[in-house]
Amino acid sequence: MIRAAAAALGDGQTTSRRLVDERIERIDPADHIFSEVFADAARAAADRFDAGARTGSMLDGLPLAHKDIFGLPGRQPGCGLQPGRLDIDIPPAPAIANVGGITLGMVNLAEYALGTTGTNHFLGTVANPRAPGHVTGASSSGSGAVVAAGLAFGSLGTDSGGSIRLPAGFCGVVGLKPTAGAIPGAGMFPLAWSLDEIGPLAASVDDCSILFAAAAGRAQPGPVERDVAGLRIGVPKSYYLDDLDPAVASAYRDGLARLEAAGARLIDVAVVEDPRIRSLVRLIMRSELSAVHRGRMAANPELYPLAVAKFFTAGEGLLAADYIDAVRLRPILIAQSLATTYAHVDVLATPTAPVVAPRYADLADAGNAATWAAITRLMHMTQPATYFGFPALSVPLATDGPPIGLQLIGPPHADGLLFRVGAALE
Amino acid sequence: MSDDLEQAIAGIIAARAPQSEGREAAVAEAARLARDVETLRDLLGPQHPPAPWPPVVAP
Repeated sequence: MIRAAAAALGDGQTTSRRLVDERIERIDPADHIFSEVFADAARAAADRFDAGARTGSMLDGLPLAHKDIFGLPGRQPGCGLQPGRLDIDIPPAPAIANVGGITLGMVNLAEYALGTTGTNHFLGTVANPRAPGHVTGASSSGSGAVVAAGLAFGSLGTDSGGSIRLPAGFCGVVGLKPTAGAIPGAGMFPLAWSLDEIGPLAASVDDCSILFAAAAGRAQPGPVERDVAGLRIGVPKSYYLDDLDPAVASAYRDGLARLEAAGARLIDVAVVEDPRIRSLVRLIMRSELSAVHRGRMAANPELYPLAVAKFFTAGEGLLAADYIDAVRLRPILIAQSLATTYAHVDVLATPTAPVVAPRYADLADAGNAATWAAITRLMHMTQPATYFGFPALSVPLATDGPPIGLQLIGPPHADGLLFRVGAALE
Repeated sequence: MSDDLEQAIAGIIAARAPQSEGREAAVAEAARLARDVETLRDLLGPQHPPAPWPPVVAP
């Protein structure tokens, strides 16, 4: 879609100003997708493009909108609060500058990027354009929704446990959590330093590939190949396929069948993942986010509603020794995963979430133990790749109901291979 | 140990969120985190496996 739009701009079939105006006119504040729209600045940038200004990027002249967690020149991120309310000093994000295009605005997210559904106590709950009433997934909720609504050609989000992949899966778009460190993390407000990754969400695998390359400062890629003949696709023997929603299980099987029909080899493979890895992710995250927020939380408790504060303070009670051990186990488990799984397959295929996107109304009472278990279960599939630092891509599967995603996980630096397998499903 | 940890975490959360609902949330969240710590210590076992320092964060 990006290539087609860039070509349409190039041969005069449309103008950047038209693309920007069409999208600004369709923004509905009731959907709570945007935290701020830069209407005047976006129109001015579009006019400059139409007058001949170019940077050489394939994204020149195309409207984008990014998670409001990145610094921009002259603007601090809102981080899920009203813009300007948080007194922070985040430098402009190189990834945003690298991507270029026209930044139509910044989009909503879970407060401070900690959340899994799409609710936000300050800015309102983000509507899911593909499944009204259902959660968007989070924390990059606005990023998934803005792409699904066709309001932007792509969005940079962040993922510290599933925050790109869940919104991609639940909103029916493509989202990549890249290999750890592939996109420079400077210029984003942290959730948990050693888990945070910047990554793209877009309407197609090829669009996602273009955004990823641009954000990482790499050369613009050619169209993503769809040839999966002979590739070894791992079907996990444990953990990932336990207790799936019937609709998810059915869509997952259909997706595997399509890959097999395209020439891929399906291989049942052992995995080291088990629920204990999720405990390690939580320990690291709670420790680091407490370090990020404890000073501000003590000075400005009004910025931390209870639903947020209970997580942010909890890490202060953890022992440094336990945090260090949770981090030290990482390379050991990475090595075990590479030997157990990726020595035998090229890519591991799992659902992006074990359930179809729940309804917001069914998760309203997060203080209820059963409800809380349902919320945390959303991250069952996505947290292990975060701990390993492995790349993971969510692509939409065919379904008649709310969107369902397939997660493709690879060894480090297999981001391009994930795109190739994902494209075969489109 | 985990009871002590659970109480310590609950105390911190309740101090920052002193409403009654905050205390309930504190107890639940503290219990969850204490279980996570127990899991970590079970994984490590009595003898820590050899692991690099500083830890390798990016593969």
